[in-house]
Parts: sequence; structure tokens; C-alpha cells
Amino acid sequence: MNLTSRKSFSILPSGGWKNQLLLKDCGIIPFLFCKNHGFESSVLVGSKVEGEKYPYLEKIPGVELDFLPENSFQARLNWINSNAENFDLMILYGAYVQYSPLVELYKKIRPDGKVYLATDMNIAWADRIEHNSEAFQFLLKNCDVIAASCRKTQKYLSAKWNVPVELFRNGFYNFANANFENLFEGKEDIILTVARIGTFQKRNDIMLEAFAEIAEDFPTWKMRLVGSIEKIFQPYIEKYFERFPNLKGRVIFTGLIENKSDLMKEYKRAKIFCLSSNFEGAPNVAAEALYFGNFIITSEIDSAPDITDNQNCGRIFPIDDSKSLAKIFREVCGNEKILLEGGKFAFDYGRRDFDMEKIVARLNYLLFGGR
Amino acid sequence: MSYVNFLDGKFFFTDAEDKKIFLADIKTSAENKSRLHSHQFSSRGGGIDFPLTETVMKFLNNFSAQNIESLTSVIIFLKITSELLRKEKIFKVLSFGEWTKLNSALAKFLPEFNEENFFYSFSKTRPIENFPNAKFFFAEDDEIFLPESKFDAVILDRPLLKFEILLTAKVFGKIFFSATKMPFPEIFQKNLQIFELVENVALFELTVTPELKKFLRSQTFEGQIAQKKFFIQATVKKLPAIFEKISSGAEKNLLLDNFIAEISVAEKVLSEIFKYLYSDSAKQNFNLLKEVLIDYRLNFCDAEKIFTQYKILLEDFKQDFFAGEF
Repeated sequence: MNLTSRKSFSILPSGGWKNQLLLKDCGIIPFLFCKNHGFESSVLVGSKVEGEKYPYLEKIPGVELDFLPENSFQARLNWINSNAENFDLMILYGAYVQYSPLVELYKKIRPDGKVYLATDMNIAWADRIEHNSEAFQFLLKNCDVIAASCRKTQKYLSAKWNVPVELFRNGFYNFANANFENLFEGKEDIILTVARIGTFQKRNDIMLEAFAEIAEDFPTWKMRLVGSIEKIFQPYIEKYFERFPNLKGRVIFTGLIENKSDLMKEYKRAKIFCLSSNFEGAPNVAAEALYFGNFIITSEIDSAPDITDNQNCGRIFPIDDSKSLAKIFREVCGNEKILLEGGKFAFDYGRRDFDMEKIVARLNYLLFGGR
Repeated sequence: MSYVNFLDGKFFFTDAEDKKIFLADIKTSAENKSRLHSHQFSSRGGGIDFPLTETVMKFLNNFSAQNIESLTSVIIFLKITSELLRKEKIFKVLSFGEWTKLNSALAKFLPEFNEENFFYSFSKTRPIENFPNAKFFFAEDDEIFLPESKFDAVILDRPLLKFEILLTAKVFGKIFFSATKMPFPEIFQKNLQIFELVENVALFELTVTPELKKFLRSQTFEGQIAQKKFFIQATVKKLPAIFEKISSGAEKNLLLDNFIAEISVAEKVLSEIFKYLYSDSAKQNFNLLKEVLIDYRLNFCDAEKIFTQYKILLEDFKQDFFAGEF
């Protein structure tokens, strides 16, 4: 390993870092730069989030948090002005035009420094950006690597923006040291979803309605919804069980599982992973599901072809269409062969294209020529 | 004072410093290699002047060489006459600017050599007189889309219009314009004949050599796109040779690092011009090639994946890059 002693920093355009983000690409990328590519340290810069604790920080050695004295744009400029000289790489998340002055200042202080912009955006977001504005063009032209997180968005941005757009998926890193041995032998008839349950974006009602439609014909199957539940969704859940009292015990809301090992066990048990979102960039949960050999059933979000490898390891249904989802449940829940073959494909595909260590190695190569 | 004089069947321009420049020989076919005989012989054997001399003189008499404009007209008229005498080919002249006596003279004179000769005028004004071998157009400069290499002589009413307009002249065609003397790029300088009319003002005759033509093309918008396309194409086409070297034992990583660096530069160039391409997937496919090259370099995939993507890219490029090249 060529130890480079480089340093990176990530800065948010506003607000501060949340613990949950630390085990997503925001934390994994800087961590893997330290772990595998000789970076001395990586600093996440943001304002303090009241009451937020950072237990995940210990899982990403080399990554540090630096809190701004106040949540203002000037505080961000001041931080760069005082510290940028020591940093070789600036990592930005989201295609925010507000980054332009921050990048301008960083490049002024460190003309040789690199800037990586992980857009992690969906097409609807891309369409809201005035991409030909002077400020946004400045941002695009001054980022050394710009990436989308799924192939469809990459293709879209590539045809729209006058700069190269790379693909860096939101991949998986095995923080929990999960064991994948005999993975397909212990699987249960479970449809799993992991999300903030009940948000407008996630549309969990779609999968619940679809499951209710097929539940009677597939009595061994259960649905497990992992994640904190939005208050606004509680009345729906109550009514759901009033309408389908037999599904109590078969539709299980686990609540938030913060312990990564426990969360991985959920993926390990499940045969199917389901997403019914209205819109998404590229959800991190998909990479986790692939790694655990889950057959992926997803609504037609931008990354749907990516996370199912064009339906080689899953199925895609139209957004807001519980009938179509029920039809897919009916097709696959009764077909062990499809689930097993698809699950095994997902297992291999995940390791090939969603391995975070490979992804960061590619990024490091693009930024620093692998050196 | 500069002037044009006629001596022994030949026209010369003489500038204020007494420097002589040959303009036209309308006397002897042997000397000017003309397809036209300059003399006829009477049945009694005596030589008489061929009517051409009279014709030229008649046209020249219409210009009163008392000012710069008419002196310019005389020179251009005689330079074109000289070309007409030497060339067998159909001759086409393009002129920009107000309709002038020179335009009238040329429009009338050209068909005397060949009825297919034509005079084209981009002008806001039109003559009252009818010229069967003249065509008239009106357009703002920026709107003009003219064919390349169509005209034997181009007369400009201002110094060096757009490169696209200069390109309308054929190879070895002439471009005339008068202007205050100024420094030109070297490639222009060496192809310029300068007729110093008065202090600081000159008539310039630019010969469009093949070298100049190439330069002009490279300076046009389309030319710059073509150059960039050529660079991209040349970079991509190195791929098979790189892999041949790798398979014969050359240092894989070093070769790939250098090649990926070149590919990355070419990708940036492609990003600048992609909106002018027919294919809307060429940019994406180019990126995919770079992606698999990096994966191969990092031992994440085998070479087969590269050649699959290379073929896809070449197929995509066919529509936009030089036909038959791939």
C-alpha cells in the first residue's frame, strides 16, 4: 500500500451531520480512503445537531467531526479559509449550487486540491437545477470528479451536463462483520423493507395493500417493515389491522433497528426485499439487500434497473400501483426457483458492482491515478 | 502617388516608392499561357490587336483612377482579367458590399470569356441595369451560409470577414480587400500581395493556398469541432495497439495508466462538443469504456469487457465521426 498521508474534508451546504449518515457513503467513502488508500484523516464539517450522538463514528476510524461555531454560510467559508490548505480532497454531497463559492475558495487556496461531487440525485431533482447558470457551470467545471449513483441518472446527466459524469453506486460495506455462509439455507418466507416507515416518499401503504391482497393465498409469508414509523402513518396502520385483522402477526413493524448486526439479520432472513417509493435516488438499503441475496421488488424509481440488474435479480412495478405489485408477489412468492436463482444472482451482482471497497478504489484512481 | 500603367500589352501597378507589381498581360498568348489568342491575323498577313485589348480598355475607361476606390477597382479588375486569361475553367466571383462600377464591369465582362461564368453579389443595393450572368443575394453576415470552395475570386468590402466567408474561395482562389495596413497572422502574411495605395492604406490580395485553407477550416466553428473529433477518434483508436503491447509482455499498469489519462482528456473534449453530435449516447458510452478500463487496471474485470464496450463505442461513433474511419 502506498501511504500518501492525504487528507479529505466534506462540508454540508447547511445543517449538520447525523449519526445515521456516517454508515452511508458520506461516512464510508472518507473511511475507506483512510483504510485502503493511505489517507491520514477525513474530516466531516457541519454545524452541531442538537441532541445528536455519534456512536457510529467509532466504526469509521480516521473520520473526524468538526463542528462549525454557527450554522451559517460565512462559517463554512471561514472554515475553508482557515483549514483548506491542509486538505487534498474536498468531498461534496448533492448538486447544490451553494457549493460554488466554497469550491471557488478551496481551489483558490489549494489549486492542486481535488473536488469530488457525489450528486446522489434523482432525475426530478436534476430537472429543477438551472444547469446553465454561471454559478452551476462554475461548480461543474471545478469539480474533478462528478458522479451519479445509478446508471439511469448517469445517462441522463451525461446527456445534459457538459462534463463527464461517472457512476459510483451507493454500495455496501460489511461494518457488522456479517456472516454469509449458508445464506440461502436459512431464509424464511419474508418480504422485508427497511426505511423511515410511512413517509410520503416511501409509500409503504402500497406494499401493505399488495400484501393484503395475496396473503390468504400464501399463508407462510410475512412482511417485516423495519424503521422508525412516522406519526402521520399510525392511523393508517390501525385501520389496516382493522380491515385485515388476520394479518396481525404476519405484518410486523419492528421499529428502528440501530444495531447493524441485528439489521443484517433481517436481510439474512428475508427472501424478498421490497421498495415502493414514489421517488428515490439510489437507496443504500438496496445494496444491503443484494449482499444478502434478497430478490428485489421495487417501484420504478430511477435506480430500479440498476438494483435489479434489469430484473435479473428482481422485478419492477409502476409507481403507486399496488395491484401490479400484488401480481408480482403472486408470481414470485409461489415460485422458489425464481427466488433462489434471483437471490443468488443478487448475491453475486452485489459483490461485483456494489462493493464499497471497489467503488472507492475506482474513485481514488480517478482522483489520484491510483497513487 | 501610386498608379496603374499599360506598357507593351502589360499592366503594372506602381506604388509611391516606385515598386512595380505585374497585374495582367493581355497581349501575348505565349507569355500569359492564355487559351485566348491575343492577336488575330488579317487575311493579308498583318497583325491587328485582338478585340480583348479594346474590351479591357473600354472597361478600364469607366474607372477614373483619380481616387483610391477607382484605383482599387482597376487593380482588382486587372487581376481577375489576368486569371481569366490563364484559366480554362469556369470562373465565379463573389462580392460583398454596395454595388459598384467594378461589379458592373465584372458582371458584364465575365460572360465574354464563358457564358457559364457568373458574378454573385451580396449587397443591400442592386443595379438598375440587367446583368444576365449576375445573381443577387441579401443577408446579414451572420446569417450567411455559403458553400465552401465555390468561388475563384472573392471581393470583400471590409477586411477579413468571418473565416467561413474566406473559405468560400477555392484553393488558389483570390480574396481582395482594402484596408488600413495592419499586422496579419504569419500564415496570412506569406500569402498576401500588398498594393500600397496611399500611406497606410493598401489593397490586399490573399491567395488561398492549401495550407491556408486548412488553417481557415481549423478556425471555423465546424473546423474546431472536427479537430476535437479527430483527437477523440485518434485517442480511442490506440486501444487495440495498447492491448497488443500488454499481451506481448509490456508493463500493463504503466501502459494503462497513461492510456486512461489520455482517455480522460479525450472525454473532457467530448464533453465540450457532445451537444453537436448526432448520437446522444456517445458521451455515456465513452465514459463506460473508461470505466471498464479502470476496472481492468484495478483487476476488477477481464479484458473481454473492454473490447465489448470498445465495439459498442465504435458503433456509436460511426454516425458522428469520419465515415469509414472505424
